[in-house]
Amino acid sequence: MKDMQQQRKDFYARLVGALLQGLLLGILLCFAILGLLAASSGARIFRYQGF
Amino acid sequence: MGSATGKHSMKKTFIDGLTRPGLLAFTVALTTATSILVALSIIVDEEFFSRRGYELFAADGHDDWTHASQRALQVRSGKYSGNGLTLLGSSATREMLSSPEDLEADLQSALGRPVKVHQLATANQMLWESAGLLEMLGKDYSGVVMIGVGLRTLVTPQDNAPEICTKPRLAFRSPILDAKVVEQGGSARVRTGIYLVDNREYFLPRRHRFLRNLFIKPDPIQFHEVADLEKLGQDKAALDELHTEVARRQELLAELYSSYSFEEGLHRLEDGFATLDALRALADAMPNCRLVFLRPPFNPDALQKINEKVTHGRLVELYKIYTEKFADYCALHGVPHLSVNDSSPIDSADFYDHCHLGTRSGRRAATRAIATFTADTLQARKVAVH
Repeated sequence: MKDMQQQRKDFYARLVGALLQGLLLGILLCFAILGLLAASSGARIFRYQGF
Repeated sequence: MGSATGKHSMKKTFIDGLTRPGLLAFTVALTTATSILVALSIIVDEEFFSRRGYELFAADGHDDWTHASQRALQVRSGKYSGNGLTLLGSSATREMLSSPEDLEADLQSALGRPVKVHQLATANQMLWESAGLLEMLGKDYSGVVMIGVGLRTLVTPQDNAPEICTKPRLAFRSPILDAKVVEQGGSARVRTGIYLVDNREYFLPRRHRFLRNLFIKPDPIQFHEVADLEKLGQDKAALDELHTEVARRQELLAELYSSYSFEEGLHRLEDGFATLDALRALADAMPNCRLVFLRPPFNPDALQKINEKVTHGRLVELYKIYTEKFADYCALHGVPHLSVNDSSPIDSADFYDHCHLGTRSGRRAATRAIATFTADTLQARKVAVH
């Protein structure tokens, strides 16, 4: 019984870890996609040169 | 002991789930990335930008392009009732005001009623960008639109619409700019109707700023590069730095004016006036809008110094021709125009470089001149009072 309880807890712990990994990777992936799009478009924020 | 073992086991499996690649993590990653992009595309539309554009996307406190884009969208959405005074043009126009609030107070004093000032002049603004901003104000705009048109603005090649749209500084698509791109040989840009996608070249470089601004608000918009030249005069190190910067700018300007002949300069002036025709046509389609042109302030001493470095040495002559043609153009087409140098008691000491006013007294004088001129314009032409 205890063993089954522990197994369930371990399963959820692994699940939460995997979800968190996916979330973090997803945010990084989102920024990577945006970065690639930015690089391919060549767009830059305008910086005033004084004239 | 059992409990301790259990906690240790959970911690281990949690870390295992966190660090080991797996199908679930991969699926969640893809779903998260897609969801973020879709959510942003849905949430960030024109209405959202008009409410929170500067707060979330400003690069820094000098990002006048983001400020101008947001304000233009706000004006079109009807946020501001009553008459307005909208200023367009480059940084020389932007820097000449002491503040929009001072101008509003002067206008209130002159007219006896409030007039909202929309400071949409931005660094290095091109005429086609002024057209885009003017168009964005919308046909319901009521009041005066004052466009600063300096020599440099007019002699900049006017076939720059494709470049403007490839590296947009405005946070919206403009029908007149889109049409000009095609007319000038560029590729027609397909509109998806999704604001974020259609303006991706504006938003993509700001992705890091967006993340930062979610947690740390950007500084409020600063319209002045040099806050107060008179106060700066007490700080020798800062003054030396300014003098170095001014010398650099004069060199760059001399190079710019030297890059084409005097005759080419005259030809470019004519092209510039042709673009002013397009601005007039836009304003004519706005029933309650009165267009006025402004000759922005210019430091006469600096003109001489820059001329000494210009190859053809005829910059002073070119400037004189510009002022005469500008006056003739305005008279011919019935557009009121104001010269800041001629209508306010400013002199070279009020400038911190060739065209930017830097003293409080100089800016106040220019602001009062703008207020008086605008009040006269609003009273002379029966712009509908709301």
